[in-house]
Amino acid sequence: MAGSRSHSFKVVLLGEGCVGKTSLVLRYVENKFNDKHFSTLQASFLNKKLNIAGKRVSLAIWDTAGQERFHALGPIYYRDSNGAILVYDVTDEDSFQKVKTWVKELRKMLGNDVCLCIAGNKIDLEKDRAVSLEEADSYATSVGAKHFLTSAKLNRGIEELFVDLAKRMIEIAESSDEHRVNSLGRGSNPRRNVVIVDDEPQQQKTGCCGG
Amino acid sequence: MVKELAMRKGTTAHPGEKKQCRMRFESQRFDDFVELMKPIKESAVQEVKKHAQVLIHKVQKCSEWTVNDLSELIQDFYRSMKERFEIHPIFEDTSQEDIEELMNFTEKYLLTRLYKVLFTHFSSKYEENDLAIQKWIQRLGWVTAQHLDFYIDETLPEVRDLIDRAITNIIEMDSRRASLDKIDCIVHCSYHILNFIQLCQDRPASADEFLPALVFIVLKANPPRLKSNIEYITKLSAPGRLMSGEGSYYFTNLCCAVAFIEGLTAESLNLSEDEFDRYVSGAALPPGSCVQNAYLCEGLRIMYQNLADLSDLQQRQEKLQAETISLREDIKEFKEIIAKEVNSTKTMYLSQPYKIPPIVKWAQLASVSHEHTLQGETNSMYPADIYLTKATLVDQNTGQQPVDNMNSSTG
Repeated sequence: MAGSRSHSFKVVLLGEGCVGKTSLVLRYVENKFNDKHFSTLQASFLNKKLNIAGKRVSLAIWDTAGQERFHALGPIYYRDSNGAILVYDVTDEDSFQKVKTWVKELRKMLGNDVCLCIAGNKIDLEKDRAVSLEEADSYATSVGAKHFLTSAKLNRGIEELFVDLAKRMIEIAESSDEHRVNSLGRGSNPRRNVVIVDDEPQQQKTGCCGG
Repeated sequence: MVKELAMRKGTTAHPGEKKQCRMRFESQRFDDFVELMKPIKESAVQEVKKHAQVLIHKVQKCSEWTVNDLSELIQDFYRSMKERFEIHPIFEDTSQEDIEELMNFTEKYLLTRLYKVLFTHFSSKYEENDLAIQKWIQRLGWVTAQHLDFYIDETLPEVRDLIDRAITNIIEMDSRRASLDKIDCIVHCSYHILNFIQLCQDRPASADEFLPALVFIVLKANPPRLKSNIEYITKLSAPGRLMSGEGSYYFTNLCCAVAFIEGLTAESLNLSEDEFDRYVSGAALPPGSCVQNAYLCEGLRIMYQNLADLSDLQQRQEKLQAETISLREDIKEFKEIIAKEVNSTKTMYLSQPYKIPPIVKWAQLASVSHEHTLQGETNSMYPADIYLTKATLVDQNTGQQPVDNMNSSTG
């Protein structure tokens, strides 16, 4: 089947209000920064198709509201997601602490099947850096995430981040379910992999066709 | 013969099976092959209908089932149908997209047919939740965009229009039957929200603005049977629908908005407990709430709408007037141009010399008459012309030279 080499993944984008997650994703999908001519009206839900080693990958990028008041709603957003990008602002220590809370939550809710990427955004403001690279790197390693330094303004590190995330998601998808579900090119969903065959309609069918 | 009769009888009794029979017995004909190649769907559609019918009867017969039983039954049905789409020979060569279409069709057909039975179960189970959230939203009528920390310019007629549309769409959700159609309403509502956010700021809307705005719209709309509808969509959607695609994103946001509203506290609106209690109990209204609600209140809104309509009318009237004037000028100009043209044509033609067409056979005319004519016209003729004419005359009239004329014209 043609769809056997294609994957579709849900990726949530988490980050506090001003860390630039919208700019990051718009840079990735539209390759524009603070442009007046974005072709999209919105950056809340975006699709991106990639081709990684001959495999077609479709990313559905879900932006989430980063305000503190909506924090409790996180689990509704990241349910069934295959990957998460946690964005912090390298000049803002608080935003990095917020990332840590999310990582804990994600690991608790989704276990190890979710691929995490931590993005230290705004590296164009290097001189005001408040979060050290070593600290962020070692933290990321300790939680099984990958750390990237990005700049939506200068278009640094963003492509690499998404490609790496996609590769890791493919690995997990291919190793965890060699079931048929995967071969359909659907996102993996272990919860619904249980196949219950409804006997009655099956019976009915054979009767009809045979007759 | 008997077989044929039986078949005919069968087809009239079960119109749904007609296609099946035709496919089976007559598909050897060339026409049918063409037909078969085009809509592989037709057979598939019949197939889906047939199976759905069985389930529909089953559900309609039993009234003691709980919401969970129904959900399980229907989800099982989706799964078995999906498997069938993938492995059964009828669906061979069906592309992935077509399988998705078939799933949509299955869901739509089933839920539309069973809507009354199913939704009654849901609305009776979640009646209390529906009423609770409806009352709660009523008491939160004072919440403004400022409380939710997003900027909105209600004075713009376009923005108000989009707010209205978003509210209409979210309310409409309750009237749709299949969960696919319900989700469509949510998606349309979300588009309107994203549009007005974009009007109020000049960059694409992100979730940071979208979710508060959706909360705002839900508060303003107070959609009927909100919880029942959400549960209905969650439990009866075809597998995968709520996991991928735009629809699932906006539906998830609606769930978030509802969860946020349900758990709304003073803290979530940046208010003190005391203030919040007073606002909720209706003892006081927050500053700004009047203004904002005024823009959304019916009377004022109609007035603004009328004002907008009037100014639109005025503009059109002015445009019409301007166009009338320009048309009048055009007519006048046209008239003048025509008059000028006529005049110039007239003078041109009147002043133009009479020329003798070269094809005239001179031999057939009396030579005297030519000479008279030529003499009359010589004044307005160029000498060269005359000369040529004379030359021709010489040829035609076999050597007879009109010497006098030549002399008179050159001299």
